[in-house]
Amino acid sequence: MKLEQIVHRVATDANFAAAARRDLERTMAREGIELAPAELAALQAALWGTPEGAIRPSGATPLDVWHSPQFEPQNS
Amino acid sequence: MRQSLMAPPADSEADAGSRPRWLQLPLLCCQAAGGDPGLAEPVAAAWAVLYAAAHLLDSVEDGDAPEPWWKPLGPGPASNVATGLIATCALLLTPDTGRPRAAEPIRQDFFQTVLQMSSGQHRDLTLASPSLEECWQVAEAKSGAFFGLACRAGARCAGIDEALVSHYSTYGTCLGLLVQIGDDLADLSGGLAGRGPLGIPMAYYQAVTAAGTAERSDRFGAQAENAPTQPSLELLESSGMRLYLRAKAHELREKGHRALERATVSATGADELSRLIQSTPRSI
Repeated sequence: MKLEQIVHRVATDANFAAAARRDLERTMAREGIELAPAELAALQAALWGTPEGAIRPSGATPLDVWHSPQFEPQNS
Repeated sequence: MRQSLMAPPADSEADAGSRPRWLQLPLLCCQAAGGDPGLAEPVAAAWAVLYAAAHLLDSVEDGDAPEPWWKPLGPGPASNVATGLIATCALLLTPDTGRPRAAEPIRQDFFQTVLQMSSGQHRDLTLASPSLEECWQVAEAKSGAFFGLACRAGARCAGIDEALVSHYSTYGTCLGLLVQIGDDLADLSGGLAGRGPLGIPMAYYQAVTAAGTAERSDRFGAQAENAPTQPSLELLESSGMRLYLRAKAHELREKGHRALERATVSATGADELSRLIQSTPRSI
């Protein structure tokens, strides 16, 4: 699936969007959606909505921050 | 697809003197590559003149509203000014440009890039309804190639190896595509009524509404079923267009940062280049 199709799904399917925001990788895996690693990281950063500039000085990537305890997905 | 070049951009992509921030690109790349930025001044001047010519030609060919200075002249004389600017660019690229062995490759690169941009512009003008992929290809052939040129030329003035020059080229291409994203969004802010094709945002909308009909929500699908050729701005926004552009911008910034890290010798210019790509466009 292409990045634009996944983004559109996020924009138009509230359940998918909520799951993707909680854990994008798991949501993609569950639905059998494959995306290039760079695009996955980019989508994750865009979904999370944090300015990349605020993350960069510490050297952490959006993926690192996403997986930090503070942002551990809630099991629902 | 509009390419804002010399005009002070709508989203404040300009420095305090109202010049676009990226006019310093050749100087910064020369500095980041370990060279004296003064060596890149002729190249920076030639690129700035070419920048003005490209902007003018693009405006005339796209039928954009004229800027105040050429409004009384009309498109014919304005095109003639652009021709003069291209000739001036050639005259600025003398055999002394940069370092002795760099001058000829720099000069050739300038005009090969002009050819590439002309080819991109031809596609832009003749493709009736470009796909999203074609839009990105056109953007890369125009803005991407043009900003890649600025960075290659500046880095070559530092006398570095061609393998390192390619990293500056990658950085510049990414920056050019980010500039294009900013321009396309600035175009949207002017509204959609009576406008022609609107670049990447519209191509995104067309791509997802054509491919994702079955996945759309009732609200979106009901409207899209009888979608006009030009959707409303609200419909475009609700399609996820900005989220898509944010993701693409992140991807381009990461790629640009990686290229810069591989090529940098001096932190002085590189820090500014890093800030530049991180803040382009200012907002999505």
